[in-house]
Amino acid sequence: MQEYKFTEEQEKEISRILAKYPVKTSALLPLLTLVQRADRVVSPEAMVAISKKLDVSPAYVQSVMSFYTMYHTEKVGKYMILFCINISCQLNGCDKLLEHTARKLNIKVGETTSDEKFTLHREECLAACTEAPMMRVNDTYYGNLTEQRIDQILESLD
Amino acid sequence: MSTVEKKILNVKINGEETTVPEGTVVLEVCKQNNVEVSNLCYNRKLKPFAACRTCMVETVVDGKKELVYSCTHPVAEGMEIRTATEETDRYNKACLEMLLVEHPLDCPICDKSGVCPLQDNTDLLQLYDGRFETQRRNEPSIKTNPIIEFYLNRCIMCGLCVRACDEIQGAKALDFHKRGMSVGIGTANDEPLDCEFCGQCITVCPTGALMDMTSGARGLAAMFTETHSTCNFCSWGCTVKLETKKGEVIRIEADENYNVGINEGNLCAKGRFGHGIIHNEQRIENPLMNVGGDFQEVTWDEALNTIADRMQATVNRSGPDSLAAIGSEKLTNEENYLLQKLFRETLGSNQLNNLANIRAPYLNQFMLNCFDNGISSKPITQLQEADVVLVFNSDLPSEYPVGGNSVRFGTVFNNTDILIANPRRVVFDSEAKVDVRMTFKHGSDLAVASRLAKIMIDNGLIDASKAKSSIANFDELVQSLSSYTADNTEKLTGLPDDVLTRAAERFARDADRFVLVGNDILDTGQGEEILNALLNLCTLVNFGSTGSVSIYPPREHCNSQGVNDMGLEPEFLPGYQPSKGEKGRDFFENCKDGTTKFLYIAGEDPVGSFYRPQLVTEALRTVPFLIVTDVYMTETAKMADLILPSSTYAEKDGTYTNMSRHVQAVTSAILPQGTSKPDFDILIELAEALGKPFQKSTLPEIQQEIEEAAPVYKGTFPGKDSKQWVPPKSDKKPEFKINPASNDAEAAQESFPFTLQTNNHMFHIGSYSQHAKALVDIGPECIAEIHPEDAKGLGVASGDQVVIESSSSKVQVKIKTTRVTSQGMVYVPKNWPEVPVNNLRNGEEGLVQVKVSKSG
Repeated sequence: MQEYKFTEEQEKEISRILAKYPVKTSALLPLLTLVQRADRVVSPEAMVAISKKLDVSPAYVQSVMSFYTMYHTEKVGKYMILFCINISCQLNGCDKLLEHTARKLNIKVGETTSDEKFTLHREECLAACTEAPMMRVNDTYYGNLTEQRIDQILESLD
Repeated sequence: MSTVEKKILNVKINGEETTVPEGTVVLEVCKQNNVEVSNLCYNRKLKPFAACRTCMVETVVDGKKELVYSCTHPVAEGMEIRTATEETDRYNKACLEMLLVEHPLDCPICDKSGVCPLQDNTDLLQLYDGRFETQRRNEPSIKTNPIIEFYLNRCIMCGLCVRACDEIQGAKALDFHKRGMSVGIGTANDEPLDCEFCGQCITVCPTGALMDMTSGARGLAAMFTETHSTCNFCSWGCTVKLETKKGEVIRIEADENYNVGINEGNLCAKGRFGHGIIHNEQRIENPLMNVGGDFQEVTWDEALNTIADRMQATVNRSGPDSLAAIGSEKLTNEENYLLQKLFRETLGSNQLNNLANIRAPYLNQFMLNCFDNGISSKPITQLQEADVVLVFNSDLPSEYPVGGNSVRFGTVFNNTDILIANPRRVVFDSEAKVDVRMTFKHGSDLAVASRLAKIMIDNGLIDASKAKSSIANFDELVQSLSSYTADNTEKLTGLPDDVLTRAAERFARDADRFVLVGNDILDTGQGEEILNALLNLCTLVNFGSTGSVSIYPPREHCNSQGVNDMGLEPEFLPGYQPSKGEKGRDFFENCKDGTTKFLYIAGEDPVGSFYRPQLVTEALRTVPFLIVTDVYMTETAKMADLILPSSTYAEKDGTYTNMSRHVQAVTSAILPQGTSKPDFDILIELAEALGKPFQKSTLPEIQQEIEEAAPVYKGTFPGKDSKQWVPPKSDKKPEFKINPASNDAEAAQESFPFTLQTNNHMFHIGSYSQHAKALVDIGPECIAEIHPEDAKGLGVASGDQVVIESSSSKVQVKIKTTRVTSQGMVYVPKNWPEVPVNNLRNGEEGLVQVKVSKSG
């Protein structure tokens, strides 16, 4: 296994994160997020590196990482599209919109486009029922979706 | 008991009154009072967890009723506990029923069947008609490591294996994966399990989700015959459960029942998976006679008569003391006793010894000195209640793995402080709040121990006036320690004084202290001085502080203690009664110069294991007649005139005495294999062949004879209940053992810049473990260790072959870089015959200086 190297900037960020918690282990989720955002994946190497930073076992890092659905063991696209499929969105036709998006990107739900630009996932609830149907692309929420609006949004992302 | 006293509370279980210490959980109280409560995820060696939710009971305190999970709920004064009420049963049943939804009912082919907590609980709660359909997971079993199989379809997510791996073993190799319906147990990144292979996870698993792949049969463990015996590897003396089927040992399990052995159901890789030495094609099958360099099979009668004739002739020609014998650290007490009886009484020779004693006769003296100074040391079962444990130059996970388990238990439940003094940065993960690491310069053990004593006196950590009034030569001790100032010690050891001060403070306070000393101190050439310094350290707290102190001499093999107790040494008869016989000079020198005409080696391999192999080889070559009894063909056996095939520990009865003097039963699980005989039978028959049969020849009779010859053994037999022998009260005045002014560790020579450290590998000990397939699978090759900085300087990297050369010999070995091994030293495990690391010593005491170079 190759050794995982944090960038200098990441190292600084890690020091800032670690300083926030009296118990080092508490910084596990923030560090996993840091890695996920930078690499779009949490690799085994990164988990070992994190385990060393926090003095926990690699098995423990894996257990926490695999508990949460928003950390990924396979590299996701530059834009992570999370489509809410909970009741409000479903009543407002999210299934059709999801299908439309998949067709448009030419992938199945759960897959990544071959140019690694988009990944499409279902998400149980994104807590924005007032805007249903809605989706989240990386950190941005898009509500009141229609097929046309989705096409526009996808085109606006480069 | 720990010095922290716990309040005793009065509680009632189903109307019956009982008392328990404060802090005990309700389930534990029920178990101790034989009240059955359903539960799957509880283990008294682990922290409360409450995963399975099937142990609900009703408690009433001050008239207030509560439904609580008994595995996490501590008792309170006046608590009334009611189990199996209509209400609790309803809850417990519902939870168990859910667990059974996924469980495949493949009991007939499951290793746990019949001894399965899940079955037992299902029966206890009478859950015969499930309301749900079984939904199997149908995932393939995982067999990516050589020993432990994961069949997660049976897993009920109790977390016992994860917690045992973490809290008992400190290995943390396992953890939960994912969540919800897809939750599972696994290693980081699902890589093949690469851990200490203790197998505790298999023992604690309440279903057959984790299985022992070394087992010779699948399924229905309840049908196996169980025999409790004592492990034959290291000197910790764990009780093992040998499971047999149709006269063959199938596997070894641990027994977690109360009061079974000293190990509470903990075992290590060697003890659990090392059963490959029992049924093995490489065992010597018949007595072999060396005829002109070739071994020819002979009958037992022929062999024994030849030996008897030769013995008699040698006595007649050269006198009884020209016959000598080496007793074995792996033979039972009874066998060793018979060997010394044959030589002392029947033949009249006092030339008896054992390898540890030939090398370090001061070990027994050290033990006796401890007794004289009032340190008789507690039973090792109390180690887990210690307040402070000093681990002196021992790599616990390799040397005494199960000792490490007890220490970890103490750190979780009794706040044990850990002080580790070692030249390597040995790995020992625990939950200790105080964990002082004294990583000292290789060979400076004496300075560390001496400085600790000096700090205790100088800083007033002990009551010096009390110590002085009790021990006459206190001033002499102070004088002898004067050179160990903070600066001097730091120069010698490389340790800052505040680390040593912290250790001394924790050690000197009011506490129950245990000191575990590793066999590595013998390699420093200053073993005697180091033990003296440790004795002084313990004596200081024994007289100048409160609490207690326990220290045991380092012992390597399963009966290293017992072989000495049985008088297999020239100085002492059984029970350390002084021997009046001829003491002789150095044992092997005696052989080499022709004084010894006849040598009997019982189950030892000095050529392969003794620290002066060249001397041994010459000695054995010179001895006119050499008998070796052993299970396997060792380098020593190859030099014999006659080899007798003896039996393994699974085939014989008797007792071993562990390092802390617990006399424990060895019980035969199977008949002797092939034509092999236990050494007990060999010695009885040899006496008969000599025409002077022993008057008593059964095991109980011999044990009775031992009790008479060695009164300290009175009441310890037959050893079923792990009783420690206790020395009689000493009438000697306590005294410090003053070391002569030391000539401190020599500077490394330029041509040999490294010091060599060698000891037992985690998966191997002695010469037998190399014949156990499972142990070879997990510990296949000898790998030396070196610090990465040193490796850089030498231009070698992990995986390279290197040559390690001393002034007398060299070995070739694979190398690995690790920060565990300090700079300036190289570590080589000593258990591979193809890497005869004991040859590197040129016959001198002290650290071995070596050089390392890339091979080829």
